[in-house]
Amino acid sequence: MNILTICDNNDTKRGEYFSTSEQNLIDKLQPNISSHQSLKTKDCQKSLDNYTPNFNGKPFLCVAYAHGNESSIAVDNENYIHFENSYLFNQSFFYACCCLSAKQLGQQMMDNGCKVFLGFESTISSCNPEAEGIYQDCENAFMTFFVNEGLNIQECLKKVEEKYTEGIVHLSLSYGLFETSILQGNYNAFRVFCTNDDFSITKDDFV
Amino acid sequence: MVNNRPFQIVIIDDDLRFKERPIFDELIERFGEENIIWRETPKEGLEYIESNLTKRTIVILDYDFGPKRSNGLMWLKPLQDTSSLIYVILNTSHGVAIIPPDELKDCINNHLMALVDKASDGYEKVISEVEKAIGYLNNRVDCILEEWILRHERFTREKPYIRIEGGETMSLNDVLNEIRKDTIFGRKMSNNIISTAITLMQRDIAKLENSEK
Repeated sequence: MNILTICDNNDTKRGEYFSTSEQNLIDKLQPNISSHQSLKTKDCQKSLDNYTPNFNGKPFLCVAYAHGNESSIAVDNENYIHFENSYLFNQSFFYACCCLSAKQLGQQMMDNGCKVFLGFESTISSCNPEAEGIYQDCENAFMTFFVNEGLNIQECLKKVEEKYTEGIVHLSLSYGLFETSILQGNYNAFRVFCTNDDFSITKDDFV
Repeated sequence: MVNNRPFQIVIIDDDLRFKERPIFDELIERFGEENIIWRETPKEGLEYIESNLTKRTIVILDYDFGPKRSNGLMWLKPLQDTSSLIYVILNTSHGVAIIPPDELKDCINNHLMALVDKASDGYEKVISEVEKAIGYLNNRVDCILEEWILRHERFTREKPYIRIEGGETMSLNDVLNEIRKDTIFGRKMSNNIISTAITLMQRDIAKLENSEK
């Protein structure tokens, strides 16, 4: 399984969070990925089409940890993934762990051939630095179930709900309702787009 | 006493005999003297509210401040701009008929919560509207959230509390401001609280179902 991660690690405000989140995912997926390419802020000075051919036309999984807006994902304050280059993800699986990415970009990616798109319809947030690991585990839960357990989209959604509930219960016991509600808000914003409403897609469709 | 959560009833009325009326005694008896504040002009009333936003606030606003002065409705929007969590009861002595249609429309658009006719409704109606307001404010999530934020130390309220993926941070005071202005973000915060309660309840229901099997 081929995976490309894009991480705006040099972002002054959230770079560290993005990096930790990316590492959290890679640590979990490591045994099940054959090829991993990680693009950091400095790598994104080159346009995306410099990197995607490395997968030799095979479908791949892409995960972005960066700032998002309704129609693009920004790295180093520049729009890096947008409608114009979304064709590069034809037949691929894209997870935009970014604010607002499911608002317009998700549909645009699907219109350009992306097979599965995961994103968030509104802003996503975290609260209390000590609890950030819980937010990151939840953010990465879908990918972990999809890759490591070979579940289909429908099954992953069910497991993701359980994962968020587990996080919500933990936060409610350890912190408070306010902190917990921030994680709940992230879950409420989570969206999945899938070709032809085919929620039976599994990782085998991307090998 | 209706409940033990802090609230205040701000009466804005230029009738200097207001304090001599049975309604004033009744409000004091029911809700406690310390919770009743009377101000003669809307400007004074607004200034008082702006400096005392830590309690949930019910305003009994007179409509008629005399022919040469503004009417109470002109102050409804400034009051609601101060905080959307203020419950305003408009008190008129001439019935609804004297309120021009445009002003009535503003009443609705600015979320006036109740209208009482001093002449025909009697003071019991005001009391019942105040009780209704207290119950309403007690059950509004945004009011509870406001109170929760205000119970924090000023220092805690001012420091970054929420980190948004877009890079911005928000302090509790920022959140409070969004709630009071009834913005999309403010409403989202309230909805998240309700949604969290539902998630936790659903989990409890599932646990109960499993234990019954």
